[in-house]
Amino acid sequence: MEHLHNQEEEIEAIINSLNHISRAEAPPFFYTRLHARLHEEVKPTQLQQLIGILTRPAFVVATLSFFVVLNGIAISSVLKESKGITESNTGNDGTIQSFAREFDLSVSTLYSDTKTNE
Amino acid sequence: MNEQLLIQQLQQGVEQAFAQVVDAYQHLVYNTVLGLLQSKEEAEDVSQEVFIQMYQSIGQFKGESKLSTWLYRIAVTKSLDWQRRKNRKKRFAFIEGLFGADDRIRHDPPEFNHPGVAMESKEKAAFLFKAIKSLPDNQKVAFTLNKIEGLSYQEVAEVMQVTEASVEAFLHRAKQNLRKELGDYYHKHK
Repeated sequence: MEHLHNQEEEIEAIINSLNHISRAEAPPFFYTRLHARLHEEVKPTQLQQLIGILTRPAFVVATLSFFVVLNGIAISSVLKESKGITESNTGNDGTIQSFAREFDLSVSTLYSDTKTNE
Repeated sequence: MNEQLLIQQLQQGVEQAFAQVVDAYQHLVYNTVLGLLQSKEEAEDVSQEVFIQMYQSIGQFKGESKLSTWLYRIAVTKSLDWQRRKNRKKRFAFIEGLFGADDRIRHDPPEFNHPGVAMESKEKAAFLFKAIKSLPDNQKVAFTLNKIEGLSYQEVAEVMQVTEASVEAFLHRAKQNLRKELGDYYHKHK
């Protein structure tokens, strides 16, 4: 019992050992060394800042996503356009044929003309 | 000089104002960092980082708190970051050691003696500092600011940006944990 009491007393004494602590002082010439270090840490140039921004993961991911979306839009518009042309081709088939007939653009006619000339 | 004026001059980049701030607050910052890191060399390095950080981000200081409170916050954040980096390096070195990549023997630093502790309490304080190392960050910070820097509960609450009740709880738990840690030590060594 007494041993336990001693232990508790000693632990309390250890915990209270910082009660009258005084403030530790920074080493001499602290400002001189700090000043030198501050001027050593050169500010990055504008080019370095730009490179820093360009190589940021967020910027890289955003740029890549932008180009992927742009490609998607371009591909979909090309597909739509080609589909539209095909549809218009099938729709106007009769008109083109009648146009060809009207102006007599068939190749066989040209051949027959050449043969006749020969 | 008026603190407001000093801050204005700092924001304008007046070097003399910076020198004045360092002169006024260097011991406050050094003592806080020393209490948290328990190494004189590391404390000087980190204290320098604190003032460099202050110099670089003084433009963001809105004056909502006192300059000293802001400096305490930077000092605490920098010290905890430093400690985390150090622990990561230690773990990495341990793994390297397992694979034989690093054969250097790493020693734990010798027991820490705070220069502000009276001669008759040095031995007891060294045990206490060893036990403080085992505390969780928020308890360690609250205990250091209250016991080593002598801040009131309200001041600690302002630095930690928590309520006074939280500070009381941190300190209560810190003391409980320290009693347990020191009890274990007592059993091993007596």
